[in-house]
Amino acid sequence: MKLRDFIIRRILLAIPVVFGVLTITWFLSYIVGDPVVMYITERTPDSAIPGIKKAHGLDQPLPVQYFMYISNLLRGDWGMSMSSARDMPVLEVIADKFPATIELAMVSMVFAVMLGIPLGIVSATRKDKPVDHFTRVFSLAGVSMPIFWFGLMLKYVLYFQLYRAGLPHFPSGDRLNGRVFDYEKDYRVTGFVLFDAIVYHQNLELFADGLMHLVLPGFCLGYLTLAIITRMMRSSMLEVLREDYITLAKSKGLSERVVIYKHALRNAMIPTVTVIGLAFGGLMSGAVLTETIYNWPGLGRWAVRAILNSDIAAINGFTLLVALIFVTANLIVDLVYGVLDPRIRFG
Amino acid sequence: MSELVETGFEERVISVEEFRKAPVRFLRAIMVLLSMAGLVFGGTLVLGYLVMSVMGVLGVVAEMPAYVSGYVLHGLFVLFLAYVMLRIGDLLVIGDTQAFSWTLYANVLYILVFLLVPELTVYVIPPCVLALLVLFLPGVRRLWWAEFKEDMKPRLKEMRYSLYLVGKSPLVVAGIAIIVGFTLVALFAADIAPYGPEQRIWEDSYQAPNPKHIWGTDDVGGDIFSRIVWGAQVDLRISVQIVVVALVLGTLIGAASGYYGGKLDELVMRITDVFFAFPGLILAMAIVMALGERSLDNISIALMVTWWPSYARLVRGQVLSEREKLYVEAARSVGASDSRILLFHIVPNTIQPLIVQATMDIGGVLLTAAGLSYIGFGPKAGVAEWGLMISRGQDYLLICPWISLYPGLAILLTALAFNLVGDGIRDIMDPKLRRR
Repeated sequence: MKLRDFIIRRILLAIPVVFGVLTITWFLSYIVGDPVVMYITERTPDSAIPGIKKAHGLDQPLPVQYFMYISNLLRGDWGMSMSSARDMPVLEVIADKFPATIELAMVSMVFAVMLGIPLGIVSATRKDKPVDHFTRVFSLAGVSMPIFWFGLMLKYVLYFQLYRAGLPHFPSGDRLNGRVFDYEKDYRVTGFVLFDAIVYHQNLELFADGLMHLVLPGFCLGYLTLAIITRMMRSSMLEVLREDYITLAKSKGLSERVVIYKHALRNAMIPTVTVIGLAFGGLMSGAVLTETIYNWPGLGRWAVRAILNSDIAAINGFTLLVALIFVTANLIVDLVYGVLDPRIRFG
Repeated sequence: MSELVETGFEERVISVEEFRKAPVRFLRAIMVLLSMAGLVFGGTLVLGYLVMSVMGVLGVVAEMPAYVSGYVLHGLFVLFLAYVMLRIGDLLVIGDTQAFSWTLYANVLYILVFLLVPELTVYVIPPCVLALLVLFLPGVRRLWWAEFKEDMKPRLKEMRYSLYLVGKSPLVVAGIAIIVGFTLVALFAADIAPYGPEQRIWEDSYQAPNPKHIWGTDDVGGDIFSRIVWGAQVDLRISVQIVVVALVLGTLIGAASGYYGGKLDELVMRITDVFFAFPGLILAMAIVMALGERSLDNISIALMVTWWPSYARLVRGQVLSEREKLYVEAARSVGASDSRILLFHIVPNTIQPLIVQATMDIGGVLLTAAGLSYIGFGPKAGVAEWGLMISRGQDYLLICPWISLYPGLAILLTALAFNLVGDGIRDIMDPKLRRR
């Protein structure tokens, strides 16, 4: 099968999943609260409510409402979110906050991959040496770390204690130092601070400040992923190193370096890539907690507020978006497989 | 005297009359009695819960009494045991060794379960003890003990080897020690904690760790150490409960899906796909909100709903590979029913990866539940629960870091212990790693 056909097939397969997510969230949110509250305020007279219900089709039977909901979604009307500063269409809120979350997730992902893969390799090649023990405990601690507590403690030590000692310290939250830069007003182009700073403003100070603000939340969010990647890399590397072709390569007199990085790594990467794809969904979960701690103006914090305020349209929008991200990540993983392992025919 | 029963050993061919001695019949009578008691008690516990929850939904009763809501799982387990006891009655009389060993297991489990239901302990445990006594009467014991020991020998050997391997790995031993430690702390919280779970000593608020309050106090004068000790009860119970229910649910669904295949399988797999596309935390948050009230019970329901698909996937994969094996064919050819093959032949052979997964998941579930409680989906303020204690402390992070520090350490340590043990068990059970 050709690559194009494969992609089309995968997208078709993803449709029922997204559809199921839609249905479940719609169903759940219907239990959470009466959807009519989306359209009324405290000052709406009771007599107006039937009219509002009628105008938005909320007096229709449930199946009809369900189809209306789906067709609205397809037409790009995701409803109004009322838990931001002012009422805004969900899609606009998402467009507004999405870059912040993605930037954070990307940074933690880059951090996790850059550190996790080498750590895993080192741990596997020096099995049962001190380095290996250290790495195993380090990664197990990452899997067992309550992310919200870790965030608080990072903040306490690397912000507050350093600040009190008069040393250079990391900022405690937010995307930029609000006293120096008003990002939303002066600098926002794409919504990605680092990208904007370099490409549009060539402002190194802005870039440095943005980067500093990303360190703590990025590390906090990335630690779990880092731990998962390290573990996976270690075990798959160990597995691969036992294979016959590695023995052959070694007996040919190739150097250790070439054997590990040319022969073993490529095959050991395959399970790791799956894990990376799956971890991306986990990052969105973690973002909810991390953003709450670091006052990060992203989707996660918005979602928590939306759920606590029974902001139905926002909840639905957020879960749908996350499901889409997840499905896309999986698709990309499948494509990367093919690059890593030519034996895998798309089919 | 022409009727003979083959017991498996050539020299021990015993006449049927010999089997039908009074003690065995007496044993059977006790077992039937116990099984009736189990059906009644277990049925009451489960049905009572169902009825009360329906009444709760309809608004007839405001709150479910603790003695109803607390024992559903016990009830289900007792029902299962009662069924087993009923089934082995006749096998006992013809002298089936397996029936005797099952009698042993069932009685021991009965005693354990009913120890946890204090209201019924008195009624059930004496007959169980009596049954065990009869089981070990010299005449009865002769019927099964030798063969039972023979059966157990390889398993004991295997277990001893596993224990030896566990002993060799310091990390696993440390993990087990921590788990046992926390469990003991949870069980004897009342004796360990110097203060009550929600006791406040106003004049001692905001105290740094000192001899009177070894881990300090929070903003309303709650003793952190005592609250962590009480919290161990809550957090351990909820995580084990969630994993057990999700495991049973996932196993049943996954096994059925893998065994029967076809449309059922397709449907189940699409459903799990959908669940996997949700980030667990978000779905759990939405479910808690949909259930109407923010509480620990709702967190646990939400997490049970989010967690079963991973077990279903795991079991399905295992069942698919076991389904075609010879022993299944053998069981089928002697006329075992589908459900019997599935539950008593296939599932026991898929249990090892499940145990590993479940052990590690207890840590993960603990983290997620504490996280939910941290962002405000958990119990009301004041309850001694680790996640909630951390969120309480974050407002005072800069002046009293100890309020958040110690509960977080408790979570980290517990989750780490379960991960260590899970990791260790996997290495021990993996035959590839074992040979060396």
